[in-house]
Amino acid sequence: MRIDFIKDKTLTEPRVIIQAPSRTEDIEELIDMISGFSPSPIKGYSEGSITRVSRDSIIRIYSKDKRVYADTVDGSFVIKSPLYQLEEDLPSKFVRISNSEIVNSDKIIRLEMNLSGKIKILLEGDIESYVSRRYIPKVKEVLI
Amino acid sequence: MNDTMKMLLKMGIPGFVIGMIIGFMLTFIFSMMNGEGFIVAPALVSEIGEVPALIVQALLSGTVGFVGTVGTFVYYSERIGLTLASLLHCLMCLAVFIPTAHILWWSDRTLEGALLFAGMIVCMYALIWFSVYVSSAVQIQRINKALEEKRSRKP
Repeated sequence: MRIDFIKDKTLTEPRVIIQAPSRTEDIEELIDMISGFSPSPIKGYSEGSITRVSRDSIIRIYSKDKRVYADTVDGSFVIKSPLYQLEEDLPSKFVRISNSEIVNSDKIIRLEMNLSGKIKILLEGDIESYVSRRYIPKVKEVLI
Repeated sequence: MNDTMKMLLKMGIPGFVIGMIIGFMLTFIFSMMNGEGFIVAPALVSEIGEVPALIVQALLSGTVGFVGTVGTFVYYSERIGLTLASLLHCLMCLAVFIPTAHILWWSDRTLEGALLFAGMIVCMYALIWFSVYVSSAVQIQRINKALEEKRSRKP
């Protein structure tokens, strides 16, 4: 079996194409294996213990006082990776909403704008935050 | 030179040039509306002479352009909302625009003239704020609609 890697900066997530003369049982097995693949969980630190944080459970990731935190459905964790690296590694459903925050678009409840022009984002788990105006097109792109 | 200074100069220098060009263009257009086209107000020329008038107008209208473009940093701040950003930018521009208009004879050299000129600027900002606010509100409405549809599709 030959494996080729083609770098394509236009893609937002990895794309696997299998080329074969026919769809044999081996190919089906390979498809099942690739489909079932999920990237290794992110390590979350809380009160001295390390927890494997699944990407789907993350509500938001934000930086505060030079530390990166992840709010998940199971609680809040400190993450050792920088925000920009997490942004690259996370699936495309995660969207940056400000210089210091990334949210899981599956966990967004709604957006609200008040008369001051500040845009509030309401997330699952009663979490509230603010979206920077310049990131609104990105949020729109992920959801629409 | 730090990054902030570099960014200010990167934005401010083109802003200065654009401000200068717009200054001459506006003087010409407004004087044309009064019958004869001038690139510098005749009252300023008779006050300080032709070449100094040209230099003063270039420098002052360039300064307005510089402040206007550099001042846009308030719109990029994540701490302040659109309304406060518009208000701050408007105040910054008024601070340079009113004395410039007074010196260059863009407004009458009376209190009424200055107030009328300031009122025009404030109205312009109110219009810009309103259009940006409405456009953001429409975008948010679309996003919320998409979120509702996404939720309704979930099993």
